[in-house]
Amino acid sequence: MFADAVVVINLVKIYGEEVIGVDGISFTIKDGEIYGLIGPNGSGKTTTLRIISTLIKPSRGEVYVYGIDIIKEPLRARNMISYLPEEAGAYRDLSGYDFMRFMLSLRFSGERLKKAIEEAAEIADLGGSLKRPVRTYSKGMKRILALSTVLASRARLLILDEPTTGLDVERSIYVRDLIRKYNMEYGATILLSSHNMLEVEYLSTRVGLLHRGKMIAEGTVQELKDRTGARSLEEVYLRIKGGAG
Amino acid sequence: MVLKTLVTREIKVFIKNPAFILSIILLISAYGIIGRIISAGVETAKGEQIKVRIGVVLEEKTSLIEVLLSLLNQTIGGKINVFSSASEATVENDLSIVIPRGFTENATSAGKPLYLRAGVKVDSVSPMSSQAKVGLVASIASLIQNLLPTVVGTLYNVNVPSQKIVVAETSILLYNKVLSGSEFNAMVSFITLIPMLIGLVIGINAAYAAQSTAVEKVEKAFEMLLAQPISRRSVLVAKIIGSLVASLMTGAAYLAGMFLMLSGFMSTTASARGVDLINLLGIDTIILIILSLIIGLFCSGAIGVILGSIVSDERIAGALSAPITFLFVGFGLATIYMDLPLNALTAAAAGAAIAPLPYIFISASLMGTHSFIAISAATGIATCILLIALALIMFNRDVIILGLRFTWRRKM
Repeated sequence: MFADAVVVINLVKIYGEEVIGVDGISFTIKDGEIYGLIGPNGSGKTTTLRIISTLIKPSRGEVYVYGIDIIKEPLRARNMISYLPEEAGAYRDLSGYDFMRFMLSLRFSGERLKKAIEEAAEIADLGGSLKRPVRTYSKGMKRILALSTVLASRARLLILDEPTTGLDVERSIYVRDLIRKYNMEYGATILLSSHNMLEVEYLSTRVGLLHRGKMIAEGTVQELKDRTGARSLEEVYLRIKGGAG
Repeated sequence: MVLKTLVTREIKVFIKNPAFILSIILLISAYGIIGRIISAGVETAKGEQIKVRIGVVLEEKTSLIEVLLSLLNQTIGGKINVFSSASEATVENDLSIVIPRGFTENATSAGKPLYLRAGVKVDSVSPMSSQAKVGLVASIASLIQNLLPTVVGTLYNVNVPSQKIVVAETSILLYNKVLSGSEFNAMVSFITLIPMLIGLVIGINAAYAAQSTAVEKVEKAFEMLLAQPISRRSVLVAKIIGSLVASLMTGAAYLAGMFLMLSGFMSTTASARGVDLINLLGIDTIILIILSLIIGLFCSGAIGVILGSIVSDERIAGALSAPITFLFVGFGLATIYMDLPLNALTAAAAGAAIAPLPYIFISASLMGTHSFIAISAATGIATCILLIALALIMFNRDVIILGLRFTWRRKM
C-alpha cells in the first residue's frame, strides 16, 4: 500500500537550548530497501534512528513509517519497527533464553511466540550458553543476543544502530549475512547506521551521509562514487565532507 | 598516592553531580523544618501541661485531706476543683484524681501504702501531648508524697521521718475508649512505631523503583524495551507494582522481625502482658493503616520512577533516593510529635504529604470522625494519581532516554 517505508521531512532535533543533534534532514526509504546512514561521531546518526524508533521526539519536522505519523501515533508505529540500539545489552539477571522470551512475548503469544523464540535461538547460535545468565556473557554475545530478538520479531522495518560494533570479524560477517537474508527472504526494510563504511557499502541499497547534523549527500553507493569520482565510500565521504566544510 | 587518586575520583563522581548536591541541600532543609515542627510540638505539649485542670473526687473528708488538698491547690496554682464523681471529674477536666476511702488511715498508719485512682482525658494519640498529660499524674502523686509529712506533722504535731510511697492507678479516656495505663502505653508505642515504619518502607520503595529504572538503563536494555510495541504507561505501571511488591515483602520482614523482638520483650514485662492491640485499635484502624501503606507505596513508587528516569546510573539513583527515604521517615516521625489538630485542612494536608497519613488515619479512626478519613484518603489518592501522571509525562519525554541535562550558561 505504501511505496515508502520511511519518510523524513525537515527533521530537527535541538538538545537543551543550543546543542543541535539533527539540523533539517530529509530522506525517504523505500519498502524493502537497505538504507545506510554514515557519518562520524556526533553527526546525528543515533539521534535520527532514535527519533524514527519513537524513543525521542523531534524538535521540528515530520517522520512517517509506512504512512503512520510517528509523533502522533508512536504505539502504532512501533508495531512496524524493531530497533537495535547502539551498545544494546540485556538484563543481567535473566538467562539469554529468558531474555529472548521476555522481549518477544511483548509482540507475540502462543505458538507464534514459541516459533519466534526458536528463530531467535537459531540466529544467536549461542548453544548451551543461552541457559546461562546474561551477566556471564561477553560483549559480542550480548550484542548477538539483542540482534537475534530484533530479527526474530519480523518487524517490517528494522532499525539497526551500529549492528556489528563489538563483534569479532567472524561474527560481523555472520551478522551482515543475516541482515541481507532478512532483507532478501523476508522483505524487511532495513535502516542501519555504521562507522564502518565498507560494511555500509556492502549492505546498503542507498546511503545518506551525515555531517554535523546535516545530510550532506544521499544516493546509491555507485551514484555517489560517480558524482565524486571516488573509488570507495570512505573516499566519497572525505571528498564530500571536504566540500561541506 | 594511588589510593588518594582513587578516592578523589570516587568522591568527585558524587560532588560534581548537581542532583547529589541538590539532594543534600534538600535533606538539610527538610530536617531543619522537621526540627522546627517537633520543637513547636514540644512547646504545644508544654503549654497544654500548664493549662491542665484537675478534678478531685473525695471519697472521704477528713481534716488531713482538706489541708493536703489546700496545700496541693496552692502549689499547682489553684487548678483544683472538687467533684462528686470520677466520671464527672474526668469529663469536665483533663485529669481527675480520686482520693479513696481509707486514705487518711493509711496515711497515718505505719507500713500501709497509699493509693490514688487517676483518670486522664486524652484527645490526641501524639506521644508528646498524651504523655505530658499522663505524666502529670505521676507528678501529682509525687507532690502528695512530698506534702504528706508536712500535713501529718502540722495536724498531729508529730515528726514524720520518712515519706510514704504514693501509687496512682491510672486509667485513660482516649476519645471514647477507656484504657488501662499499660494498654495506653502499648497503643502509643505502636502508634509511634507505625508512621516511622511505614515511612521507612515507602522510602525504601522509592529507592527500589529508582534503582530498577536506573539499572535497566545501565544494562542497556531500556531503549530496546521502550521501542517495543507496548505503551510506556504499561512499563511505568509494571515498575511501580514491581517495586511495591518487593517493598511489601521487605515491610513484612521488618514487621515480622519487630513482632519477634517485641514479643520477646513483652513476655518479660508483666504490665504489657495481655494487651491485645488489634482489639484495642479495631480492625477498621488496621485496615486504614494498610490503606495508608498502599497509598504511600504507589506515591513513592512514582517518585522513585521519576528519579530513576532522570538519572543515568544506579549510583546517582542511590544518592538521590537515600535522602527521599530519610525524608519519608523524618516526616513520618515529625507528624507523631507535632500533635496535629484533626480538622479538614490537616486531613487534606496529610493526604497530600503522604507520610502523615497513618497518624491521621489512626487518630480519625479512634475519634470516629470518618469524614476526615475520607478527606485524607481522597487527597492521598489524588497525590498518587498526580505523581503517577508526572512519572508518565517523564516516561513520554526524551529525559527517559537522554537523562537530565544541565546546561550552564556562561556570560561572555
